[in-house]
Amino acid sequence: MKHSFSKAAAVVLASMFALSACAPPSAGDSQPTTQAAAPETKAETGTSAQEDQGTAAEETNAGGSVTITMAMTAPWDTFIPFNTTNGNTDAVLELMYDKLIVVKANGEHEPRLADEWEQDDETGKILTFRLNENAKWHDGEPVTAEDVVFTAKLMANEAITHPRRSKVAFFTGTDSSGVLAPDEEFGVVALDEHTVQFTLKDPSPISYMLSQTFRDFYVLPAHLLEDIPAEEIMTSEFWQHPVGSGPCIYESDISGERIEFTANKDYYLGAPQFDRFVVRIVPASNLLSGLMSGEIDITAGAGLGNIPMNDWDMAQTQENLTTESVKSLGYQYLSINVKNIPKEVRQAVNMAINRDAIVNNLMRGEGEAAAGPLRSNHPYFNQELLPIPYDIEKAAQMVKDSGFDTSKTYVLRVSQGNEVREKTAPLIQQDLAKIGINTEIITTDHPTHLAECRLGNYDFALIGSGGSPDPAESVVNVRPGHVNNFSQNEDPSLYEKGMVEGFQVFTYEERLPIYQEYQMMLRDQVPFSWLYFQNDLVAYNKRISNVHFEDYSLLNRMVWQWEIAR
Amino acid sequence: MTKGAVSRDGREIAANSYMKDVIQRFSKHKLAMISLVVLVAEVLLVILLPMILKLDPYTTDYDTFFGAGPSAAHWLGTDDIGRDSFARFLYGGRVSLQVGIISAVISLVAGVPLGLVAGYYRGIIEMVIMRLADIFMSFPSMVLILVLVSVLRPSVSTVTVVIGILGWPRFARTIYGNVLSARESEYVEAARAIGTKDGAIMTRYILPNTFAPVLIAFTFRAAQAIITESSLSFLGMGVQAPEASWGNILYQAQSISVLATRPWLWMPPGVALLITILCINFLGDGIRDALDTKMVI
Repeated sequence: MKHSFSKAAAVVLASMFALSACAPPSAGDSQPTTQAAAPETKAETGTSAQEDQGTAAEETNAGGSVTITMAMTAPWDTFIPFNTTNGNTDAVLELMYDKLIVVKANGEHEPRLADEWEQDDETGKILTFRLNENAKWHDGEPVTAEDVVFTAKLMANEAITHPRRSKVAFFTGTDSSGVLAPDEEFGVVALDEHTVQFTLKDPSPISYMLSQTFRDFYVLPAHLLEDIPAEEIMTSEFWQHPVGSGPCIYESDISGERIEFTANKDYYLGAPQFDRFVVRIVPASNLLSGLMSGEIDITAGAGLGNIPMNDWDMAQTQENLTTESVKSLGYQYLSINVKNIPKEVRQAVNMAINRDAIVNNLMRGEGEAAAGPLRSNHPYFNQELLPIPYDIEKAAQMVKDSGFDTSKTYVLRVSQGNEVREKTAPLIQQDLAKIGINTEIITTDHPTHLAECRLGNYDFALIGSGGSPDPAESVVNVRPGHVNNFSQNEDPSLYEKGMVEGFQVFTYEERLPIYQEYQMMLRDQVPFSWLYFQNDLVAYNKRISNVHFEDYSLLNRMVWQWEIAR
Repeated sequence: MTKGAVSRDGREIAANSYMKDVIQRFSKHKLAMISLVVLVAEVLLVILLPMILKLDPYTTDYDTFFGAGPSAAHWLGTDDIGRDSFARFLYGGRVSLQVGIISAVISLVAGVPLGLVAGYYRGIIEMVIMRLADIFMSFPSMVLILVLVSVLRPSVSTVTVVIGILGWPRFARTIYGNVLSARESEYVEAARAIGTKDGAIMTRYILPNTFAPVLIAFTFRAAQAIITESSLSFLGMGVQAPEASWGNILYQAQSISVLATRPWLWMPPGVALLITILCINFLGDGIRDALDTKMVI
């Protein structure tokens, strides 16, 4: 009797759990959708409390909301747009905030916050942008030229320290590092409500300025930030819940794990076709399984969210996925600390790395060996860089002859997140060992890796870059004093060639010889040993189209243009 | 002590010693015997086989396709960067077993004196040590280990020391209980009566009687340490490239394709871990049964 009673009680309890999942459809929490359609719910099976409200409605409501989940393999480090140079952060920033223009892989620029732009013909020092008059902040206020001026001034403010200061150093009214000069007029002014003018200290090709400086120049809302004293702005509560003008409106985040956005249906360039956007941090090995199950809709690409080589074959056979092998402009290099490793040894190292094994064995041909920062089909590429020297004996001899201390163990740093890069570390360690250089591999998370490399706490480090259609992209990384001068280079000749001489002229024919020489100088000085261009192996759910992965390494995902099938 | 037998010519044969009894009882526990053999074989294999076959887990074989399947040259194929998987499997075994055993030793060396002292002196010393043990035990150990290892820079030695140090409470508490009862026994009282120093009492009288539970705790602790090291390496925080351990071999094999299509990469370390842990546990069972038939754990 007792036994059957407890049995019955157990059955009742169990069925209560089961029945509670069948909630009656409620219209309460559905997102207002402008499209009438069958429910396409990609809601996460609620791990966060904020999700619970929407989940039941999304699963059962006929006019369900569309959620797109993008996966990347390493986390963002801040929501303050100028306080980072981390690509994972940029992937998030460009959803919330706007920049003036976007860069396409073919070298062209398209409007974002700015409709039109021009450079004056006489001096080449004045850039004028006309802003889109429909642009609004997420709180409804219009975006004006004052916001752009405010942002630039903030970045030049002495009271705050941040890694993107060198961007504003181009403009008059700042000192060489980009700090506001007190007695000069700042070179960024609002000519009227929708026109901003930038005055440069030195003439510079507008293509460089757009591709590099304005590529990640995110505009902030003056009306929400101008009353905060500059000393307190970095710790302001504003960043807990940022307000931007971009296609996605910040809703919530779990640090290091996910960020949830709602779509900005009033976006001036067109409302996104999704209703919610989620950025999730997912280990590379789980990307494919997530895509197969529908938990993830699209990878972030650009080395931030690539399908691992091991999974590529299986990915291509999946019925619900579109896969692409994208030849991007992004590259990976071995940064060499010039303070610890002399030039002859650096040249030897460059000659000793087996790029063929990396590209053809490890990456199964999904990439190309790098002779320098430009891919071989880049219009500015210097053919004399080929073939890439590879001679172990000669390299070993050079190391010996230089008197380099080969009894020491040197440090080779790599970060987690880019699976191919992580795997090249032991390969490069072996290559270095063959020429007498013994190394120890130190693996850390990406933000720590970048921080340590900036400080020069390493001998060799594996780092990547998104590349650019502009041939001067790599110059800042070898410029003495720049925050990303990873190699601790103190020789200004590369900078002088690439950003002084190369900026005096604006046409392709005039710039070509300068940058050809720049590439030869890089080969000679070897602050970096360029390794490879990796094809981005990406995959996304078939219901998404009009995505242009080739632009992603240029920080341009244009999510409002993605087409999402019902 | 059992009364000895008498030999044919009348001499008394020495009574069966305690150890002999123990060994006899242990040999009756089939599972433990098998486990002992397996474990010894494992240790011998991971130490000797690489030397005999001249295996190299660090060097990339550029002549074979990276990630190739099993072949004559590479019995378990190669990993993603062309290193011999079989070599890595065996070397990984060395690391995993080494971390397991050495960290258990560290835990023992740290925990036994503390437990002994706490149980013998009682009072404030007991309170401090036992409460400390409680605190350590109530911390989610994996989290603590992850934090410590990331601060101290992951490596085989860091991992060994950290796991070792965090394992002391188990030994301390086990011994503590035994000491509490042992100190009340007559022989201890007698020793105290004749003026034996505290230290001598603890080491010569009490400690040998706690041998049994300590040995058992040691085996279980070693098993746990092996699992912890594997988990850490699986998370990328344990043994670092280019060293191999069973855990970090599994870390490299996580993707769905490897799991589905290249079982030779993950099955050996996975199965080896399983067998090792099982055997250590059975061994512990056997020792427990053999050493003290009255003891209840």
